[in-house]
Amino acid sequence: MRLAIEKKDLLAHIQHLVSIVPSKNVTPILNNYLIEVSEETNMMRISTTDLTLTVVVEFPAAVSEGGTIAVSAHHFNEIINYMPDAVINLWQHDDLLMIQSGKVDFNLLIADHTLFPVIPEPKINYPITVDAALFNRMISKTYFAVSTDVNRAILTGVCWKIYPTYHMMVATDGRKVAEIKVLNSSLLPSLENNDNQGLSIFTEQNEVYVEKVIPLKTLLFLQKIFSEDVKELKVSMEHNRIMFLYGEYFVSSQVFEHKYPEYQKAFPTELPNKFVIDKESLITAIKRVALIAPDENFRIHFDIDNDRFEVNTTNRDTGDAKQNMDDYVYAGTSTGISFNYKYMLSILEAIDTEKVVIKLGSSKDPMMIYNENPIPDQEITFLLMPLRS
Amino acid sequence: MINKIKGQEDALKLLRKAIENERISQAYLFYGSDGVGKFTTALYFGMAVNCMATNELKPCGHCDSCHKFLQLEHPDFVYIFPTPNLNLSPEGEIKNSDALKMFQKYIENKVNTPWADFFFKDTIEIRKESITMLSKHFELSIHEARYRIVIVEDADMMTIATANAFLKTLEEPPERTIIILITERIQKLLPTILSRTQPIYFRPLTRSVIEEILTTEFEISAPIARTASRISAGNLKTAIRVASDSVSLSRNWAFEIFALAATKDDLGYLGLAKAYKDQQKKDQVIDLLKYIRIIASDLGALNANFEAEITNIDKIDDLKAMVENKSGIDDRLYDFLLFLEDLNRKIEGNVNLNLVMTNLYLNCKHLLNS
Repeated sequence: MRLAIEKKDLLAHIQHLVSIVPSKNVTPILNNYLIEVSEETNMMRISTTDLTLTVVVEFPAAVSEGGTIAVSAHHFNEIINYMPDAVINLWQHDDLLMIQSGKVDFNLLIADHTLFPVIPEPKINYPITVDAALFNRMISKTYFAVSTDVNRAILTGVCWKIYPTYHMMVATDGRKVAEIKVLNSSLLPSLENNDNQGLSIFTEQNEVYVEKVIPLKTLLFLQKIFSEDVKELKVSMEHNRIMFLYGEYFVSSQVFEHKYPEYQKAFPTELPNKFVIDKESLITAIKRVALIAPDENFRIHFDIDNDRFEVNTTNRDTGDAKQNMDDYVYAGTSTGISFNYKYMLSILEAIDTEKVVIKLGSSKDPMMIYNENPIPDQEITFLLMPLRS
Repeated sequence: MINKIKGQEDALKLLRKAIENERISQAYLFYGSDGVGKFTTALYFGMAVNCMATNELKPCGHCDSCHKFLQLEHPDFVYIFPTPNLNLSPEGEIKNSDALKMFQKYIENKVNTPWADFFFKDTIEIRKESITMLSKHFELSIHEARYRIVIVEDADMMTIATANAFLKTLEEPPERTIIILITERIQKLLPTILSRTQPIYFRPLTRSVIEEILTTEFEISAPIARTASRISAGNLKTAIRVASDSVSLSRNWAFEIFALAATKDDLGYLGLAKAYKDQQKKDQVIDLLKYIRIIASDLGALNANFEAEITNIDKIDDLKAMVENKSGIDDRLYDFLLFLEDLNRKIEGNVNLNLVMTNLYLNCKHLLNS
């Protein structure tokens, strides 16, 4: 292979890619990029996979000779990063990749590319189209609630559920739930999709909804490559994988094959108490009081009735702290609740409005947290389980 | 390629039938002594069910799938073996670069010279972290293969905790997954694991099979191959190790002892004992006894005119000289072999090696001279 490309063009395409390349893996071939260049199309295609997530990026380059190689991803990125801002020449010589620009020369050992896992063709059949900005927003409202417990792998992903008229994303780790519903179905079968059966993802006629549990890593990568310039995200699904086409990127990800738990059961039907308070002042108060919160459970307590709202914590090892809040509106009876402040802060960060609405019951009931004013066509719900006192 | 596996016709037949009738078990247990082809068979079996070649002889060894398996880098192949603590993450990453280097050396050795055992410095066992990585693999669907292949080598080297964690995956393996356990010590496996696998026995290799492999695959000359095959007790790994020591110290030593014993050169023996003083160690002497035993049986065969049975063909003239005009060797041979057995036991019991060696020489002398 032999090609030439501007440094900034190459770097722009590989800077996000390297983050998903495994390092120090027991399957050494996965530490490499698979680089394919074609003389006919004048395109350079770089693929990488950790077997869960596969990303292919394809972009134009001045190719004078086609070819395929595999080369250490981390080295390649760093070398390109430190190259002078000029045209970079790349060519293969025996088992070396020569990288040359101006007076700088690198000879990089290449790996056996035939060992590289099979990469699916970066093509999407019968895609549906999602507004990329909306999809990005859905991820940012849910990703923080996923579990890190490898024993319940299903919870380490975000569940994307699609009904004929609306779709939603949800994540939970059993202690908190984050859910966003998008009511006007902005999922459009793309124009290339000619059959008139509506959304093509409903493969069986009696299916009520489609549910895909997508690994967090995949979604975070999609967030990383999100850009204002590319509005459309094309999605296609197979039974065990989901594929995205976004600009020059093709992302194919495995999904978890189990059924997502019925988290809605945790949603209380009715909570008698409700308060509304300025989000920033609540965050500040929690952070302040949390300075001495116990390290083992991060416990913070709300004590609330009509004329008093106190945020406090007690730590046997260090002492206790409290702050009385002003400027809140409360409706309900006197109550108190303990919770993990880190979870509460992660939820409050995801609140869009200046004021936050928190509904609560007794000290054993979960808290429900909402935006003060609903966003049109969206329903965003957060749930936080209390700590037992 | 499958023809490279020799001397395991029964096991191969069972596996071939399984593929032909599409009745592949979810879990197999390959058991039998070391160095008889368990791992190779397991790997080739995994390759065969995934081979992309169109002809009948699978695995082909050339297609993309086979190529990846042979390098142990197939994305749907999980290889688990006893390791020191590597701090392996569920995603299969080893952060510590020393540990990673060691791991890579092991794999490199397994790919290039599978008959040579690789020894880690630290204590090894199959660790929970390996099983966690396996479970993580099972969460995901198969990447490109028809069947996902898992090989667990030395499956008996699991702690109870690891075995129980493994049991969970063994009970409900995902579909299109074949788990192959390999062990030399089947009695050490938990009965709960045994009951969930289909056992396949691998017999020790016969001498002729080992000789054939040594001469054809490793280009080792016939007499050495024959000696090695007799010492190896059906273990190809031992046979290769013995045969590849180009000048075998123990073998020469044994012949020198016999030569001196034949001529009753006691003074010469004292000189020899001095010369070999540094080699006079427990393991080395046990090794020496193996050669002595083979030479003794050669002498017996020569005496009875079974020349075809002789192992040390290259030394046949020396051997002939020893038995010539010596009557009654065959009578004394039986006692001599019993004596060697006894000596072996004594060495294991840490008897003074000087006494052992002197005793050995005197008995050789007695054998060769009435």
